[in-house]
Amino acid sequence: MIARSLAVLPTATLIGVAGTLVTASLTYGQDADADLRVLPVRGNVVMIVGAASNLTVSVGVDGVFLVDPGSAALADTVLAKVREIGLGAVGAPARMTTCVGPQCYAPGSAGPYTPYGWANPAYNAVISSPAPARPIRWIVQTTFDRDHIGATGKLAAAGRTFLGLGKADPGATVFGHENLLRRMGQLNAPPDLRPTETYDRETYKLSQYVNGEGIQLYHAAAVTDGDTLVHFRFSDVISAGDVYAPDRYPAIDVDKGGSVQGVIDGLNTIIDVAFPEYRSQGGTMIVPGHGRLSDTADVAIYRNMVVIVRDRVLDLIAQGKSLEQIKAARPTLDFDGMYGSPGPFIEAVYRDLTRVGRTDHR
Amino acid sequence: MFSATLVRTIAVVCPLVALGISAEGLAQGSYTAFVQTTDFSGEWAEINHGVGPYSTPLQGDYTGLPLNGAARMRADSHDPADWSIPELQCRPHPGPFNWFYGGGAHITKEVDPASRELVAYHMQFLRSQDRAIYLDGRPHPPEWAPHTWEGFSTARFDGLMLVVTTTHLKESYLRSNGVMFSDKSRVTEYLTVDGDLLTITAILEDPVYLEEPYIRSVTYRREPYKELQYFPCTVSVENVAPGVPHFLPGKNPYLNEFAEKLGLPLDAARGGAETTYPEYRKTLKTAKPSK
Repeated sequence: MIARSLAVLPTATLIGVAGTLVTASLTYGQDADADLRVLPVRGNVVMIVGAASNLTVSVGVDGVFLVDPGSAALADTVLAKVREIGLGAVGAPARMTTCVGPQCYAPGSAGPYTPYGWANPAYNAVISSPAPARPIRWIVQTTFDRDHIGATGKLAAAGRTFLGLGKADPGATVFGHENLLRRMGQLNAPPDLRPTETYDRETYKLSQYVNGEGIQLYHAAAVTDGDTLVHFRFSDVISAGDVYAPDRYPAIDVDKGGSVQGVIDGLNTIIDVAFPEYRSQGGTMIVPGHGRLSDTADVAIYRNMVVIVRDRVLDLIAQGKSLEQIKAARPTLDFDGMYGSPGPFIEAVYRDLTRVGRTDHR
Repeated sequence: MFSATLVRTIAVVCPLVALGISAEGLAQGSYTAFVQTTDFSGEWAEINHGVGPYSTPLQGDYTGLPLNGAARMRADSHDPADWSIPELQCRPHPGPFNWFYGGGAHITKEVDPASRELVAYHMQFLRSQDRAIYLDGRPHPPEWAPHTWEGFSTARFDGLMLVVTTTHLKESYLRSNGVMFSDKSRVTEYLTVDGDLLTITAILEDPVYLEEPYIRSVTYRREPYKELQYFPCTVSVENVAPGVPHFLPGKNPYLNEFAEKLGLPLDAARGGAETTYPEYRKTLKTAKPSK
């Protein structure tokens, strides 16, 4: 459905999408005027890149479901982009259907069959005033990193929560793991940055379909102990947050409960939930916290790197090496060309593996 | 009784008929029906001298490869048991290097039905997915687009030669003994046809693992009486890998086996740009063979 919805996005967005195809490289940054690009992933789900972190958006008749609102500096830019995408969803006169699965798709179409066919919002505007953009109703915070969640207050305030019986509260519902809220409390995070709804188990299913599909959250005690993976089950897209970022080493925050084994476990959760399409490629798509859109094999390659580096650092610790000696031994030399500067990663792995009472590493 | 007009018509048409030019052709003008190009489509079988030992090398055999230190460290860590990792067990040979792993190639043309312009070639190897090579002028995608085993390829004709540029590769193996190329690699292939022979020269540039570009070539023969079959893959044990087999730095006991078996100096087996040049033979003469 989103493929059709994207086809009816305002011209500016379409130019933006097309522009992504001719942009050879992208610089991440905190610039408030950052050029955000929309990459359709599959089904209802799009990936917004160009912010300090990647954003995942599901948009449809129920409204906007947003995974990580991004940094505070980009709040207005992200909000404008999300509204643009939400407007596109309204412009497509696709109706909800109880039909689930590929059999619902008309041959050659990009989404569920609708008797109304396709029309673009410009055409709709000729015959009627276009409806307002669908509201942001849900936000998920995947981790405690301002690049990912700094804009929560502003974007949540721009959304709505429907309470039923004709009532609606201002502000979107903000999901996060219980540990995330606890960490925010310890650090006196501003109230509007905090989750309004938490879960405390290893997985949490939203109680109803959102934009035609079930959404399942998975807890990962990875770079912090309050990380969340989000699986859009029909679109078959996983938004991974900082558990997986293929352009850099894991940003493990030991002080917030992160651990290298937690990252490995989180990556394995992604692999466990995901399916490859054919020959270890395609299938479930993974939106990383940073870097390129990926699949199961990409996550496995990254997992292998984390395991190998973990084992090397552990071996050097067993040899009695200090942190400085370990850094000097360059245990990540063969991966630095792909993942960048290893300093903070090695430090975090060292701190994690030398913590008193650690028992969960090999 | 013939009219003067009819006589003039016969006088004009008869010589044209004698020359093999039809009245219909005359009406449409005289055009060249074909443009000169090279047709790479069809079934192709490799000629074995191009594959062979490269597909099953011993551990520590980095001969002829311009590897840097990072690449050696990565390859030295390789444990052949990592081929059992379920998530990667079914990966195909990497796209631009599939030529060198044998099994044949199947190339089809994608032609625009309206303009009859060549939009793309589609290449399939025994173990590969479809590899599209676009000739319609589309640009390469941005870095944050997915990377694949085949990569994203565009091509242009340089005379009768096809020049293919590939980016957006997943990291994969250059040699199946753990020598890797990175996801930042770029491959340029030059394809030429001479009679029933197809020659491919591939140049790999990898800022992560290579000191210099790595060049290989291989020749295929057209096979009009064969057709490449579907070759599926099933993971032997479906699950998340319970571990990642690898050797810690300095603890791989098999790295010298290749050099010892062939009586080569160890340095020659370790690769590097220097070892790929003819001048290196002088160094070899004075180097001490491995035990």
